[in-house]
Amino acid sequence: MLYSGNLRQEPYKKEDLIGMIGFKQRFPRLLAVSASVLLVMAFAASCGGDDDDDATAGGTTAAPGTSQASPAAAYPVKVTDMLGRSVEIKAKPLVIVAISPTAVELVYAAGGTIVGRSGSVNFPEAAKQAKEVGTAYQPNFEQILALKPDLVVADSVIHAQPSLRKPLEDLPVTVIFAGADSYQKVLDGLTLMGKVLDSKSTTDKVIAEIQKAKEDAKKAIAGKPVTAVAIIADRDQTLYAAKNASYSGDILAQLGITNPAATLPDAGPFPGYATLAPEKLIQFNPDFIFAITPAPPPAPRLAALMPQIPPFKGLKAVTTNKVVDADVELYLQAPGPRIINAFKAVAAAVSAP
Amino acid sequence: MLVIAAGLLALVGVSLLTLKLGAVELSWADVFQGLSSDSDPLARNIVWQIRFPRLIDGMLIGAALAVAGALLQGVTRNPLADPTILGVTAAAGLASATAIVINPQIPQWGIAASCAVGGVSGAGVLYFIAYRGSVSPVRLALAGVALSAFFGAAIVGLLSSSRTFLQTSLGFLAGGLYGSEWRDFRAMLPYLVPGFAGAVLLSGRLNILSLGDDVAAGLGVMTDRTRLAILVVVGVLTAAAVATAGLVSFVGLVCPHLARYTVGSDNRVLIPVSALYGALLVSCADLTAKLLISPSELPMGIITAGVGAPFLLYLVRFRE
Repeated sequence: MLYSGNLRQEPYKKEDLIGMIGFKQRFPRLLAVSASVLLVMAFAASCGGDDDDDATAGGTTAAPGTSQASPAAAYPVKVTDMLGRSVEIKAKPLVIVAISPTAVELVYAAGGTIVGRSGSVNFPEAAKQAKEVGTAYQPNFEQILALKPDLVVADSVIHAQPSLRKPLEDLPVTVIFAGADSYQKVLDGLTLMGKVLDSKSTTDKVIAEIQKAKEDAKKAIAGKPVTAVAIIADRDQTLYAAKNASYSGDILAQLGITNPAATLPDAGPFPGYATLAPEKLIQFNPDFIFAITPAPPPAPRLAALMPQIPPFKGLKAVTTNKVVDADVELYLQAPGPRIINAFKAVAAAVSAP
Repeated sequence: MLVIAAGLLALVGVSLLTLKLGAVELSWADVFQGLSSDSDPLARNIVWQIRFPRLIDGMLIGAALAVAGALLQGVTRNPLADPTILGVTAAAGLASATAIVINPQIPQWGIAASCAVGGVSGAGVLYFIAYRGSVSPVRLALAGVALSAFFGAAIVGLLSSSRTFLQTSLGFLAGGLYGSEWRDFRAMLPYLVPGFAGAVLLSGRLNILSLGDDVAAGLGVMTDRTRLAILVVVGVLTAAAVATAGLVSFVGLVCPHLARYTVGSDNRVLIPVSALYGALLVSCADLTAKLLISPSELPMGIITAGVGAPFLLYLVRFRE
């Protein structure tokens, strides 16, 4: 709580604004941009979807036929989405529906806006105005179509299961799957979205910021021998510890923090998390515990409960007051560009006296 | 006849309402335009790609489950027989869940095929356990309940230990038509066509079987082989339904009883009428499931169980 309120939104808000301005100005401005830039873009697009070609050298060799001074010149663009599907984006997507918190945040980070979203989206503020089209786990296909989108951004993590993926793929609109369950996937998602929305410069900036936030956080905690576990508790009070394959586990791993739970065997229903027996936690006795409470308030916060549970009273993290109430959105529900805030929050907690 | 006509009329009515009502408001003109032409892409997509296939899928799985129930009640001479209670649904569901865990991106026809294998195997196990020597309703019910619990436990075990299912497994467990489309229809068809045909062809022999084994044998019916054939048909029909809608319960219990109440127990009439009632029940239930908490939706199986469970209580308390 002590860190999450402020740090959570500020830096990203700014970036979001930059993104918004970028989008609104960029679109008409492209009309006036010199042909060579368009050529570079067209060339980059024609180079195929999945390489991150800078295309600096390609400008002169691009086909002159694509040099019409129209914003559509960067399109059609072929991309490979995060389920490995090859998707052609015929024109710049303007009416976008994004059906998970991650998908929404990726669109905004790439300078786009949305007209439809899944129910649980809280960020960015502007996205809340978009029409709700079901929940992330039960998108309402009729409502999606009724918004007449030219692009639906689905979540490559949530919607990978066939019962959701198939009907989404069958929608008579362009659908791309983008999601994140790791640091690298956040960057991949941004890169993909930059291609889809033709806003590589915007997404490159966000990527650079994320990388910088990671390096800064790493520096801030360098030299401190730190062990930490990230745990979540479900409603039947079972504890699950994040392994490195989970998003929150990966955040710890990226910062070089030792996660004793990383070696636990896979167990339990949540991918990347392992059921954590209380005695295991006592054995690990980590320096820090990042406690994530998925249930919304007024459900009791796990971080507040930990010191009250007798077997946990002697834990190092409890006695030194290093049980951190970690924001469920940042670490669990909305993996995405706000990983910046997650890095900062971890660094702030670990380097606090 | 009047009952059948009324049932058909009701089915047409529910179908029209299903095409009309949903998360997006459409006028009747939109609905008919969507059904008949491509001129309005939005109406076309919503009516023809979303609502219509889901309606057809619902009617077919309702009919399949009701016919499976009628066959089971006939062959076991037990009014409580139903694919769910006797474990056939759970067997098909277990096969489907296993297939999805092994290959999360399995195509729909693969799921249908696994369900068919599971459903027929489940029916086979039931046959093997319950038909040694004489037909004992008690043994059959016990075996069925045990199988149902066993397969059901295996499904829950599989769901909770695998990472493939999360939120959507609730829809699978309760049974529902969320996201069902033409793809599911095409995957079901190879099982439904022979299943329904088999049910109709076997209905005459099922009548004779109900006279008792001795009489049936005297009339030239090979009782054991007929029973096995009927159980295979039950397995195939149930599997098709499970592949599309998950573990929908009680349709197979309620509909044959309603049919018996309205048209008597001649299986040649009872089976088609059960199918009609099944289609009607599931399409009504699905419409309710969609509208009750729109734009979100409930698993349709909750509604069928909500109707079916009280009916079972009634049977237990007031009937033979």
